Amino acid sequence: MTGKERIKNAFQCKPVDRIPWLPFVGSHGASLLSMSAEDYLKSSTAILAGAAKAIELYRPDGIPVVFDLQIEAEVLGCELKWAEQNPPAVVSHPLANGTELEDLTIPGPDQGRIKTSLDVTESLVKQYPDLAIYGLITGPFTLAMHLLGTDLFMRMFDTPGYVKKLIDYCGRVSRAIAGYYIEAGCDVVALVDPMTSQIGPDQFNEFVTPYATTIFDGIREQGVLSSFFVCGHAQQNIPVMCDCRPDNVSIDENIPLDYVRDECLPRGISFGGNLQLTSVLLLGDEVDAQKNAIACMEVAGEKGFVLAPGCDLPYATPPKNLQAIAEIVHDPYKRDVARTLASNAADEDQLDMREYGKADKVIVDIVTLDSEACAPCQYMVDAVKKVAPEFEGIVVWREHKIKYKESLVFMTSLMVRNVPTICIDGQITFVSRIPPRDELIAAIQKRINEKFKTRIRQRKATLYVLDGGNKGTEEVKERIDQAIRELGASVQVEIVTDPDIMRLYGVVPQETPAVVMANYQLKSVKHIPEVVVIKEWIKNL
Amino acid sequence: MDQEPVKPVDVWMLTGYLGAGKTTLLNALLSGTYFAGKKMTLVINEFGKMGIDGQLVEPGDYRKYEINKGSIFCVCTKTDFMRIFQEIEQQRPDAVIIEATGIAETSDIEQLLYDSTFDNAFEIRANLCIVDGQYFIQTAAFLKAAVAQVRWADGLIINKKDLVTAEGLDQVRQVLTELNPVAPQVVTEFGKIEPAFLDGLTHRRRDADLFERPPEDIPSIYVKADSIIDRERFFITLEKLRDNILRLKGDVCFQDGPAFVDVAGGRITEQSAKGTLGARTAFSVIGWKIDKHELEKAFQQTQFPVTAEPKEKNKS
Repeated sequence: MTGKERIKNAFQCKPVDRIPWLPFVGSHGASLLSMSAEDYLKSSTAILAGAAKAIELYRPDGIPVVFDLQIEAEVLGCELKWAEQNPPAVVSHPLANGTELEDLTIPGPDQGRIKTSLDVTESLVKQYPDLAIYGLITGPFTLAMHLLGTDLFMRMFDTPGYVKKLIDYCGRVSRAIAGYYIEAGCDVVALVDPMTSQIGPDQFNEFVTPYATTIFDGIREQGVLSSFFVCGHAQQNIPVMCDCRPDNVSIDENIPLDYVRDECLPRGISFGGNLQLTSVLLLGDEVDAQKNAIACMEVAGEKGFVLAPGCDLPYATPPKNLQAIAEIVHDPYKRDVARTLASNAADEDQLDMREYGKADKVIVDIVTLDSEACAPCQYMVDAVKKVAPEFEGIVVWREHKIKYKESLVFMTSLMVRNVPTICIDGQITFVSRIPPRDELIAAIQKRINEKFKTRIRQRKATLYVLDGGNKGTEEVKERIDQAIRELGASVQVEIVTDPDIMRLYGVVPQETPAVVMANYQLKSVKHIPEVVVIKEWIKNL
Repeated sequence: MDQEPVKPVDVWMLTGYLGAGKTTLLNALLSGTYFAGKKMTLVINEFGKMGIDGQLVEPGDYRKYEINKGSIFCVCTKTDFMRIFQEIEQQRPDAVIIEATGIAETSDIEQLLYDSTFDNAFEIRANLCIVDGQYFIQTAAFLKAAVAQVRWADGLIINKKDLVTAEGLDQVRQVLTELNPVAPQVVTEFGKIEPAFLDGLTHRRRDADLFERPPEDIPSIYVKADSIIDRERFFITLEKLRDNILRLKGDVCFQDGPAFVDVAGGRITEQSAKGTLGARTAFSVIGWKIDKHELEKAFQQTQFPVTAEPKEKNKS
């Protein structure tokens, strides 16, 4: 199944081989090319290169041509303020500055950046026939806001007839732009109308529904799929958005995905969203991104769902976060791992592992999903299992299946982030890679050597010479001193004459001279060791 | 030795619909005594400002950040906001004033400031919501953020008292009290407020769900009809619903001719019909504590069942 087929099927609530994935690359494409959003959004060459880079990195099923809701407004006379890392801002509103609505015409395909976008569309359609190409058009309510400014809300009361006339005009603009995108080959036309989040369902029905419905009906008549994008706190409007008959409703993190699922699917409408843009994709790491994606996929289910960020990706979104999402989208095994991690999240239960791995034996921990159910995990466990006996009892190995909570706690405590992973004495050593036999042996041997050196440095001992008054005590003491001298060892010698202490060692005074050796190992300082760690010490006694 | 905990930076938030007078208030605050001598940072998150009123924050000794992007849209601004506050966290000014967009959700900004990323680096000193005495009722019926901002305010500043009648002002105050009974109110012109008002404010953190739509308490209806409206029944309805109508405005085609009727602050005025609304009768009503359908029904009952030509009416 190609990406395009996958998205088309999802839009029509038909079966898919996996959930389709659609990163909304807008000004983020500029960061992939190390250029400003302004230069990027004004250049068809740059937008095409940015989209190509995003496709290479993120392996999506579809891609938007451009994500900029000011394109139509600019052509219609709104002044823009450009930014380095954002789409431009509308800073003047022609209808608030003397222009009459009657003076505004429907923009043509060759005007301003409409042409830029259509040029990119044609190239993307040719170069990526297997991907669903999304044309994004500004919704009529948002465009009306651009043209009139926030007076729009005031005039919904003062002159509702005028507002309707204005939105009707904006709807005709949207239909025209949709037609241009369809002619250029877009597979999906998305009507993006975020300002509708500011009004309630009654106002939506009155000022948006008639115009949006006509747009979606028009797109459908041309044999192309449609999506209704909204962002912000627009939960109240999801049912009325569905009433406009789009094929898909796409939302951001401000609306619960399960709510949208339950509103859309019974009406045969697909839905998309709602990866968290700032806290996860921009400021989080790969693990956060995968967890968030898994959460979305778990809630949404496979029917009629497109995994996507809630809106235009922030310019500086780290590519590795989106690549991490692509990995779990494409690889069922990695998806299983991420799902298990997400479902057993136990960050708050982390163990203090500073003393882990200080036992006499070398401990090899294998963190797996489950070696009985997952092939890479099985091979990793087998590798360790075969090598361990060669160290004749010095090496102990254990498998930690992260489907169990305690194993997950162990994994997060050791800062392990990938599965399967081999840790040797608590140190992450092989990540998602089955080590060749020789390499594994070398790694374990290296740790044994380190431990041996450390032990020699750390070990302290005392020899107690038990003196019950019998002959020979002095001679024993002299011989011990000689041995210590010859070895250069750090051993103290103490003479014990108290019969009660001798008895504690199991010796009565009549049996002296006797020698008792005590080894001391510093195990922890100024903190309370975990039980799992103490157990390891005790096992060595 | 343990380090002393760092005191969080005070954050003052100014909310209010565009044109309510936030920038005037901000300028008044910056030139007044309350913040004199303090190291201030401003975060201006207004949009469309240049085109609408051309009003700007006056230059002064403070650091200023502007979040002004086409995507005034929700989460998109969040990214800029977080980035700016990460910078401010390093600079540690004495106070930050945020001038939020007219459509900002106060709760969103609070949530961002208390985000774990900032590790309690900021503390909201107070949410000040500036209310346009003249136009608040209109916006409240259509724009959910206008109401949400009032509900989340720690102090309500009713501006432009010079542009509204005493009855109109009372009505606004009554609505504001219903929406937010605990926030102290002050009535002002040109955003001038006494430092004592600011001193007396306490920030209350709320965990309530976000207000998702214009409240049921303030329904709006639009009546458009080609039938004739019975003058007597229409005015009886207005009288009966006196306490339930905040605003009514538009053309009404009575049997004695069309008229433009305006109800504001309980005062009814009637003028020549404007005829710009595309129907004989076309008027908007903003109700108060009345069910939308009840309001619609009340005005439907003022219509004659059959269309009759209205008589010519003397222009008033």
